[in-house]
Amino acid sequence: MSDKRNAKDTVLEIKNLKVNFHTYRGEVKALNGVDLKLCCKEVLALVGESGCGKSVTVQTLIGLLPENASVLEGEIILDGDNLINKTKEEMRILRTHDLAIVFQDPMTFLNPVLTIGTQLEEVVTMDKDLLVEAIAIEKPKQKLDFTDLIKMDDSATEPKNLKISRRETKRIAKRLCAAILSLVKLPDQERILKQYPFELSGGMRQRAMIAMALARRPSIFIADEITTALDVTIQAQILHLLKELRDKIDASTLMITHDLSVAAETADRIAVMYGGNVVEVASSVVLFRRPFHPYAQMLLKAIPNIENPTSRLEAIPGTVPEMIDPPPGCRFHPRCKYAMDACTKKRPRLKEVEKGHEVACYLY
Amino acid sequence: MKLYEYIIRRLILLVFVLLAVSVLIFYLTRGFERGFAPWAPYINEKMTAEQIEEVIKAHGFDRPLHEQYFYWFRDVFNGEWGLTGTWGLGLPANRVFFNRFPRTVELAVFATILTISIGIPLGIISAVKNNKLPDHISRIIALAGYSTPSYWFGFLLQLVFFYYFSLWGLPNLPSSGAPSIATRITGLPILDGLLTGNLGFVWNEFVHLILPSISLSFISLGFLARIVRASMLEVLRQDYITMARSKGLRERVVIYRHALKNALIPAVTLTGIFFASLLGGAMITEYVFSWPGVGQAALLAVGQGDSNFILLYSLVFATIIVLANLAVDVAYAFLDPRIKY
Amino acid sequence: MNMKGIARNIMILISAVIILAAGLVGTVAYFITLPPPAGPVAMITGVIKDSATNVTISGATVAADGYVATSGPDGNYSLAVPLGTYTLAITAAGYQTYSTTVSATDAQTYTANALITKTPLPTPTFVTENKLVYEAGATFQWLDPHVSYYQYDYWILWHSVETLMWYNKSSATDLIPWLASSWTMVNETTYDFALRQGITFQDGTPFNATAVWFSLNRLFVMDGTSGTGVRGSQAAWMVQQLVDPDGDYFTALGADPSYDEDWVKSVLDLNFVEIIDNYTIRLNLATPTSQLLVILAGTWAGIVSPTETITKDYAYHAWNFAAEQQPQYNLTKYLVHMAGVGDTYFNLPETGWKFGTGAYYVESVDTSTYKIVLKAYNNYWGGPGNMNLPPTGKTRIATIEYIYTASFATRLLNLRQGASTAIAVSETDIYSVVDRDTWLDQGILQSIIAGVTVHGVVPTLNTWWIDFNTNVTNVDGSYKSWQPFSDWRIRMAVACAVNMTHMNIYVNNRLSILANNIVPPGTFPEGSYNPSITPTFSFNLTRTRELLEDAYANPLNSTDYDMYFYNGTEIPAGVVDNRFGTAYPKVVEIYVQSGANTFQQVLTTLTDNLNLITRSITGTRSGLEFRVVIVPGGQQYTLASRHQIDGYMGGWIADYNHVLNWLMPMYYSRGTYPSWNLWNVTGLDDLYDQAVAADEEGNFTRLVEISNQMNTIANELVMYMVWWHDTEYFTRSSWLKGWYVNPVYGVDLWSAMYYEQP
Repeated sequence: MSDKRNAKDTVLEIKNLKVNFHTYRGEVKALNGVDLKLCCKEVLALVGESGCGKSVTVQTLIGLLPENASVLEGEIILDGDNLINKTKEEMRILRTHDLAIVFQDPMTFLNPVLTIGTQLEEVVTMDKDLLVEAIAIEKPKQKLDFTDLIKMDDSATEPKNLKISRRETKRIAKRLCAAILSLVKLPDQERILKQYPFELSGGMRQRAMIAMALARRPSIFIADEITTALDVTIQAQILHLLKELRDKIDASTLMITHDLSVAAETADRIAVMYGGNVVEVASSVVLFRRPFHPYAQMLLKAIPNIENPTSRLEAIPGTVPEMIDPPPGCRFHPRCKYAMDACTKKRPRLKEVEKGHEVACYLY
Repeated sequence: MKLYEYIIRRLILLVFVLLAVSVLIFYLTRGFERGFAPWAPYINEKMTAEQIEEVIKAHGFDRPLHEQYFYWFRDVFNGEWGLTGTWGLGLPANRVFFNRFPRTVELAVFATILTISIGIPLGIISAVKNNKLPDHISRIIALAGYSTPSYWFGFLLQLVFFYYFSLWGLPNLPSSGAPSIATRITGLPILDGLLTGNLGFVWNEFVHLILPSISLSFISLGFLARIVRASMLEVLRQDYITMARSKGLRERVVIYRHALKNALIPAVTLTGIFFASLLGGAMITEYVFSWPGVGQAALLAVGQGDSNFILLYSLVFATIIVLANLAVDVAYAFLDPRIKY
Repeated sequence: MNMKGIARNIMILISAVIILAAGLVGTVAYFITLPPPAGPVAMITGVIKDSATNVTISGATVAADGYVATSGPDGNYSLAVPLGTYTLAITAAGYQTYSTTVSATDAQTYTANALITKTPLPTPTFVTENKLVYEAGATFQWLDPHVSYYQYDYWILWHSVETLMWYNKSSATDLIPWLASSWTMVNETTYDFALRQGITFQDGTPFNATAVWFSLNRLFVMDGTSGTGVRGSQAAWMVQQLVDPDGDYFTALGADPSYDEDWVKSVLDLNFVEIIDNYTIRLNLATPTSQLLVILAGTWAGIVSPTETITKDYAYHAWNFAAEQQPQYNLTKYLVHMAGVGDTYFNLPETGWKFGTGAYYVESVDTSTYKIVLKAYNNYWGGPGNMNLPPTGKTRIATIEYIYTASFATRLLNLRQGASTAIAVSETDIYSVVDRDTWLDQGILQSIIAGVTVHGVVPTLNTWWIDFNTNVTNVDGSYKSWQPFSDWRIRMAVACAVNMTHMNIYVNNRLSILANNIVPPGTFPEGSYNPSITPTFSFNLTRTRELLEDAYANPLNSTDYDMYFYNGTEIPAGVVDNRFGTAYPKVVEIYVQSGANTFQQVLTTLTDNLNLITRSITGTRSGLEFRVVIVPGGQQYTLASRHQIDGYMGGWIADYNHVLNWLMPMYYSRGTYPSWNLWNVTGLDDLYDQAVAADEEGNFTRLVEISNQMNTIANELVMYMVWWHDTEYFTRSSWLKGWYVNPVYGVDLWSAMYYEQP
């Protein structure tokens, strides 16, 4: 469902989300009160080291937490609804329309024994409205243009109740699949639809995954480390694709990455996570120029600077906190050189320090 | 193209396997004079010495072993498998074998159907509801299945469903045997019954098949369920399952379209081999239930050292196993597109 | 810590324990009976009897509110209870529960007798369907009466195919004219038989002289040796010997026939069966013999319908029926086809046959399950005086089914459930059907299965023994220098080394009659079974030791003693050397068939006893060792026929009931039968010739005399260590009435039986 609201409206808000995992060794306090806001049509990057809770946040968001996890506290507000309170079935329906996610490793995330076409078709055929609209706008001998369909996606209009025969469904689904694949710049769509994942290259597979996500015409598009498994040139291609698609897809994007450069490349705003909390949120320009949170500062210092190749890389002393028995208060304080007494007692909350720039630190 | 080549190569290998098996069995049944008298099924204690020698000469048992083998081989090429002593002395071995083979096929088919239709769902439930009550129940059933000795279980079924049921006044299943049919078109009794419209016979045959099939399948459905469970669990952990769920697909679609196809590959192997081994005749089950299949005949033949029948049986069985293995391997190619020959 | 999980597991454990405990308590409570009461008691006594037979019942349980007593062997019981009123419940196995009230209000004795009724047995299906189902543990071999030679085959065939002479119900010796109405001996080689008129074959054609001529000549021309299965008949020689004493025509008697048309014509020209008129035939023998009638009573001499035989065999072999057998049947042409042929339609008659005159015809034979279905022949003539039919008013059994069920457990289950009327029970399984103590102590077969009677035991015409062999050769054919059983002392030592009486009861389950000599009870003529001709051996280990010590000290050899080959020439010096000991370790091997478990056990005891003794004589175990060797049957026959075994478990089952069928194979060195032991006792040969002469004259007294003499000589020589004659028992439904058995082959014939509530 595409979004007709204005930019600057908050589409998705996560408030004080706390998620625990139950293991034999103890309770893993994975998310310690995550606060996040996603605004309409923007690209928000969520960055942080491995283990800081980025993926858990996303899993909670789409409702696919594993069995041994439970949400202790918090809300995820989407369209006025709290997703935490929704049933599994309701979340599933949301996933068919509103929430789309692309995962990290297209080799393991695509089913090796099904063709690309099968895996794409099943997404397409779930959406009755899409099929009906496609039939409405299709012209013989002309390729379907998926961007038209995206524009047509209108939650305000009445759901259409036309019956389509199975043959019709199959036919239009095929055309739709070809259209989506051309949207993600995959050539030779007919052949690709018949191929299996292992027959495609890494970059093509990733595009296929993106296609499967976009086929739902989502309002929230989540990219979970989608370039991590790719080599640098392909990475660049994919990021380029995302930039191109940005206007067409009419969705708000949440971009998860541990690579700050990727975030800088694609995102409007960046949220930095550490130890199960969001510690700083700012626009990418501002963050790079003037990070406030000590962790963010040290992160930026750790990036090799191509303009200054001989300067020392500063590693952040210490290690990622252990989540079963995390340090009290601010979880960064054992590694923070500005640590104060207050940092050990109570966790600092995100505070807007300047316009559009929030930090969770007692320094401010 | 590649697939045909592969199949043909395997079939050529089959010929070598058969040759090797025939030589080995030949040696084992006829090579030891002190152990196995291959003319034993043809003589009895009332024969004079001359008559015994004559029998030995008539069948060529006094010739050196490789000569015997050569004559046997030549006869087999002409379709002559020799006479068997096991069932009515003097009947051609292949006639006895192929008279009984269709019934073994029936039993194998039914038992396999039962095994698949119970074993696979059991394994799937186990995996999907892992560590919950349905998982525990199905694991107990599977464990009971493959811990049970077949001769005991068969007899237990007879005791309960035949003896006690009739004692309690309930309609009971027959304990043993198989009904007779007069016409023979295809050779498979149930098929013949259906073709001639003799539905009473078809029902009767089916009723007689129930207990032996249950007895056979109970034991192997445990194995199958375990394998399916293990591979399903493995598959359900995979990333592409998370992906499928994240697409918003119904859980049922996720399991049956995405998970099962991957998980069934080892199950297919097991089922294929299981079916093939059943075609050799489940000897013990056929013995307990007097099911007139080749297993029973082979049991008797081995007990009496009837080398002709044993040879025929071994070779047919070897062929079946090799072909089954081949079929399973070919099936892989269809199930898993990553496999290319 | 997964508290939920742990808590749940603990709960499961607790509930399991509770369930088990409850079960245990319940079981115990069920079985608890109260101890005898203290305080003032009343006695309740009485006698429990069967309401139908008035026979007292022991072992019945009398219960009154937890106080229990059991009735003793005289049916009396005695129960002590505290004062009060009680409902007595009297139960016994196989009976309906009987209850009565007793007011035992004073401290005195009260009487409560009971007549309890047997629980009526549910009617088995086979009774309602008027069908007899027999389950065997083996299959039939050949169902053509002119081919087969097997007891089980004959038993089936007897219900369908009949002979000129037959046995009078259960008599083994009383032969009566059956299909023949009477016979006269014209001279010692010629017999005339008048045939019964009005009898039809099951296919409707009349029984007449042509059929007799056809059947017996069919037997002749099929000819053949036993067991190859490709050729001919296995029992033909028995009738053939009557016309071909020199073995000019038939292969079993020594000839090598060409099986062409000329040969068939020459066989027909022997004119064994001469047709006088439609209902009279004349049998022409080559030599006189008294065995004719008993030979004619065998199934091999079964009379079959020419039309049915020819029609079916032509179809089976795809011969040209239209050209050769139309417009009229040409019996000779058919016989030419059948020369030397054993492969006939009737061996495995899939669509049945109707070629006998018997009470049942074969409706079908299933070639995969080997089930045989016989149906009652409605125009059956009934036997002389209808003796082969049930008494008037009783219904004949309409269908007989022979089923092959390999597993004994399944057969037993079927019998218990009422699915089968009769089953085959092997000797070793006897205690699955009868009570062990009653049988071993009292010799009574008491069935332990409700609704089943075990009939027997019935002696059969067989004897088992250890065959001591002389003239033993090595595998390469050379004469063995160690000939242990050429030495009488060793034979006697072996024969004295085991307690056969004990073995017969405890190892053989008392299922045989100890043999005194080789001739079993019931052998014709009367008197040839003579238990007063006893063995010269008896269980005596001291004697065994003495004999073996003597054989050790003075070993037999061909140098110092006269020894003879089988052909009568003297064995030269140095060929036979029976020394044994540490310097000359020797082994004596006694062979037995695998599967013959009883024999194996007895032989093992025997050899163990012997080895203990030889060990102390020679000082070492290997000085002289006795071994039991177990081989498959075929193996044993082969080695025995090649004279390569020292000794083996052998026996003989009579082909037909005549003493000559014992004396010839066992004692006569020049007989057709395997003289595998290669004894050459001139005395016995001469006596046998005399016996044959006596038989030809019809002098049965003399025949018995000679038989006695021969048995005495054999016993003195310890030619065989005779063990026993087998007996048979029959496990049949109690619903089967009119049961009898003919002991000649030890099988029961069902045409005269019927079903009735037991």
